[in-house]
Amino acid sequence: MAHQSVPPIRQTPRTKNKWQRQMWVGWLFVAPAIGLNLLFDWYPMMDGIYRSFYRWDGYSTAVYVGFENFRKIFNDTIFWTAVTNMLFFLVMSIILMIPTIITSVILFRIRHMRAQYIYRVLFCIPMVVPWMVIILMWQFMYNPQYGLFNRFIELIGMPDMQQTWLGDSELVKWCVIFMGFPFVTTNAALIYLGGLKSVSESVWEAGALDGVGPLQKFFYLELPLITGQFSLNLIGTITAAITGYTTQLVLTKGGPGFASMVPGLYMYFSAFKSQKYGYASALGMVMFVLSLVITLLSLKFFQKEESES
Amino acid sequence: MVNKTNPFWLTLLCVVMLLLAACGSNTPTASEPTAQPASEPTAASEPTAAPEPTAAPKEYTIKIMTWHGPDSNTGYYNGYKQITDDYTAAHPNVKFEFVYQPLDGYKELLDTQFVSGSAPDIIQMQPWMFGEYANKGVLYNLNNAYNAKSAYAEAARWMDTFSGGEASFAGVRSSNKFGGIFFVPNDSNATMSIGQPMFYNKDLFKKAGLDPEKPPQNWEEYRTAMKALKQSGVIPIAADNGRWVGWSLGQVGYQFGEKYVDQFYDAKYTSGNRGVEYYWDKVYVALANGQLENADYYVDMLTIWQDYAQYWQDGWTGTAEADAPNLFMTGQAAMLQAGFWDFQGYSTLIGDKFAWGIFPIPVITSATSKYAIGKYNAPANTQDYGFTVNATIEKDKELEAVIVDFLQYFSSVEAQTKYVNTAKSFSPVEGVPVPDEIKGFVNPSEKASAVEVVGSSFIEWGDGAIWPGLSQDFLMGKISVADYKAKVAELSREASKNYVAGMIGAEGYAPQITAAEAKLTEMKGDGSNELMVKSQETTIENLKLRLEMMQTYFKP
Amino acid sequence: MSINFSKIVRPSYTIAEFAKHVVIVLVCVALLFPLFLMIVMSVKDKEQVVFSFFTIQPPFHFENYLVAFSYISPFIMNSVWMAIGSTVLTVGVTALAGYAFGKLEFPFKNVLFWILFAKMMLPGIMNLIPSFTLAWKLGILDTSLPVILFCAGTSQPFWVFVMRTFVAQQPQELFESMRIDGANELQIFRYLAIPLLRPMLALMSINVFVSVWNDYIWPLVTIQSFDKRPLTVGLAYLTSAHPGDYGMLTAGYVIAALPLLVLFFISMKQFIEGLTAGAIKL
Repeated sequence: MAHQSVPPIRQTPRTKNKWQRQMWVGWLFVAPAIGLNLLFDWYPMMDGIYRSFYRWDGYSTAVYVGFENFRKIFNDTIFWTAVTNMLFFLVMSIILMIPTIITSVILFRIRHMRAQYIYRVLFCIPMVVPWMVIILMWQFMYNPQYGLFNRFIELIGMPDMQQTWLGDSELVKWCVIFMGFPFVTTNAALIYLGGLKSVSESVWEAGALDGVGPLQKFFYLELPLITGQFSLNLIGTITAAITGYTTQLVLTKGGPGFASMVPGLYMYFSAFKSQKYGYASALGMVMFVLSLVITLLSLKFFQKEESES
Repeated sequence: MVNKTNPFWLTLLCVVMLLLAACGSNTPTASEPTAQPASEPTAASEPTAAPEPTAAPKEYTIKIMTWHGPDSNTGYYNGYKQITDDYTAAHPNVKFEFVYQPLDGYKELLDTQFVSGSAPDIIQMQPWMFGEYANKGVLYNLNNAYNAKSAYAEAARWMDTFSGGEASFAGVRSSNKFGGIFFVPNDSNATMSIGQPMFYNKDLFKKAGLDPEKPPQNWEEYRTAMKALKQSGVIPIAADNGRWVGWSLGQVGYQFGEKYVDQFYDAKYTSGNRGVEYYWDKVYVALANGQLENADYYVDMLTIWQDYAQYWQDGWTGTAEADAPNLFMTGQAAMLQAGFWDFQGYSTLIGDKFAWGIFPIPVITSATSKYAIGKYNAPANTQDYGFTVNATIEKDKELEAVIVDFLQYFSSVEAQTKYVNTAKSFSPVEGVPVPDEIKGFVNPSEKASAVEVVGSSFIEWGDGAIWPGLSQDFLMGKISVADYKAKVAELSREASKNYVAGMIGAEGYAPQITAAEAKLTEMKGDGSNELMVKSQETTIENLKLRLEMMQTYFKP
Repeated sequence: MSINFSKIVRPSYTIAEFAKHVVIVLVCVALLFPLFLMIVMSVKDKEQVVFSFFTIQPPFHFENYLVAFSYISPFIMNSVWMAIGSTVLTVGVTALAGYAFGKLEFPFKNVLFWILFAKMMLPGIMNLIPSFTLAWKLGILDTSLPVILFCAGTSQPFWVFVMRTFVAQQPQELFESMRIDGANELQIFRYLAIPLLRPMLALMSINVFVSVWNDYIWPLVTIQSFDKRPLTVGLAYLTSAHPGDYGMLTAGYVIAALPLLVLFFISMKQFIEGLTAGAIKL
């Protein structure tokens, strides 16, 4: 099983030697990544967390407040409203991972390689569009007075159906979700595609010979093969749903009232609108724990599903 | 700023710098050095104790940070540039470099530059920034300079050359824990009531049966007009979910509670200049004690504000800031609040699509509420916009003298008159005329005399992350006046308690008093001019009184 | 070993095949609509943006491009170098780490992996001042290093995870057979892992490149010399000089996007080659 990597001579396995060699190679390979991450990401972060135990307004004197900030978060109704909203966004964005999976499988099944290549490039191109343009576009769609949606509703003769969209406490969350239309994310799609492509072709040939239907093929062949990729994208989706806030910041300011407030935006406002850096850092800590717990639970859940099926 | 660069990193840096040298060259300066022959009519009398530059004057390049760029559609940058060019012409050894940074990123850049000690010498700031940065100890206290004679004016003190004189700086002093003055005002005027009026669409007024040439004068007429406009099928007011929440609150709120806070304090904290100078401290203590939240006028004020919201467009809570002007510009909304800086841009965009004009925010009279003041806020009598100076200049006495001299030139009548005509702006300096183009934005003085207005401060001084959202819920009628009042009061109580506790605490006024007293001893020793000594004594007295007031009245 | 799958099966133009194309084309149209809108908007003046946002109508203001270009052009090369530097370093360390986490055994592997994994969950908006202070203490301000190093430090956790997943999925025999052939770990990495990971490396490169390309605040505060700054600074100047002029601004965005498009076509080629190389290995 194990092998020496010294070139010409093939020797009997020397497990200990191999283990040691791999140990050093392994450490050497991960050292740059870990080192850079610790120094340039973790260190500033810890610097910030250290400050979450303080009441602190940026760079003047920090007042030690112990766990007071965390106690406050526990009683902060707005934070919990934000968490509830976030859970809605989280569940929706997990459900909305499905269109990407289906699209990638369809794209994979396209046999014309040249066409497939072109589609892939087309999938990538929207990445050059800055989010500002996208937000502007939706603004001109949702606007109650001159927006595209209400004008369309008027055009088809149902003016009673006109909505205030982002201005409606019930609709606003759905509007924010709908901005992800067509719910196909380039990164996720290409990761799935890469997963499907890297599987040995004999598997596909076997599947083709068995003459199974396209739906069965999807559930029994393709889907199980991309569970690893699914976990990856799931983590990406969860992290984005828990920490994201840009859309709300620009379009709704978390409103109406707090109907679209999310923890990330609340943290942003606490830091930059009320100058409560310590509190904001503490919020960040709580969000971190939430993300970690939710990610691990969902990974467990999906892995269990997988092993059962 | 105590950290020294490790030699190892310095070496590495050198290597890296060599590698990256391809991308590097000199920083371009926004100002071309003007080589005009020097004529120095006034530079002779240096205000401070710094040695007079003799023989070959030292060369200085002064960095000025501003968010007005050379190519913007406003004239501010050109105005500043004109002043610095003129100064360089008279003092060829002093050159200027503009550090232009758009507002997007301005604060981030400034914050980090202060951390690394590379912040510019002169920094343009918005009103809310002065106190914050001054309290962080990174700004230069101009108090002494203000109490010296300006080389460019006849008045005894530089301070006296500003409209409103010494009194107009009282509010500024109260915004920092040093009781000092940390900026040179510009683009504003303390003795004029400069309004942020309503822009209105005359065609839509006509359509609604209103006289387009007679815009509403008071709140009742305003409501009638809004009602008529709404009935005629147009949106009366273009609102948004950002700044408008605060603006509309300000429109209503600051018509209530004149001198309201003084009732809680002894006369010695409210008389004369102290009325204004201790204003913020008094409001903070009153908020912290929960004394303001039950003001008699609050129910009226909140009810009017909530009623106002029914005339804003449907779904305004989903309208982003940048989107609201579109409603006005496309002729769907009849009114929009905007500032004098928007006037030019709107004129071009609207063109001849519809007739439009401006009118001042209508006054709330006793017909609407018996608590209303019934007049506009008096000219704030407080300096606001302006330029601060980096505290590090204190280390170089000559540079300090040069910068102070430049700033005095900057606020001379001559320089300011040229400036306002280029920039189409207001000047804080006495005797500088207002350019014709912006005269319409000044509230009529006979109607503008309300002072020390407490207004809606118990809302806005609460948590900035929360009160805007709460207010939206309130304006949409989801929470009652009583609930809303209780919630925002709780927020401002907490914020104020923290502030007051901080000021009473070890890092608050006490060390400032000690420092100011040491400075006074020093000033008496080196024979500083009498006015400066006197001003320093006043500063100490005021700081002590402010501390005493807080200690006496704050009930945690 | 087998030949490329696509060459065996001849494309058959059945209804099912046609339906697939229809679905994908619809998705592409929806995905590309904002880009289309951006291009349309870039030749509008202020008035046209407000009054006719979704329609195409003359006059077209191509001069927007001239103005926008004059703002952006001095900074383009700075951004190019910065983005290339960041991408090369970040992708390099990520590939190494991903391979090691996926296929090598070493003590504390899980602990080290957790360091990266946990970082993915931490929101980073409070990091500006602490990060700046660090860069300042290291004495690397006013160079491209803060951008490059902090990019390499912050943007890799997710991608290390991606690489690990893809490497781990490959059969162990593949790697063992190379070891049997006497290759050392570096050679295995170079001649087996890299080709296998190529599509993901291409995708990651695009992501890292675009994020550095669009970064504004961090390079702004760490690079004070005007002529070393990235093109986002030029875009900020453009926005500030023409407030509310979305047409002008989008013209700037279009210009800023062109180098990215070139990069996409290059990396997509890599993507294809990677797949072919992978297929032959298998």
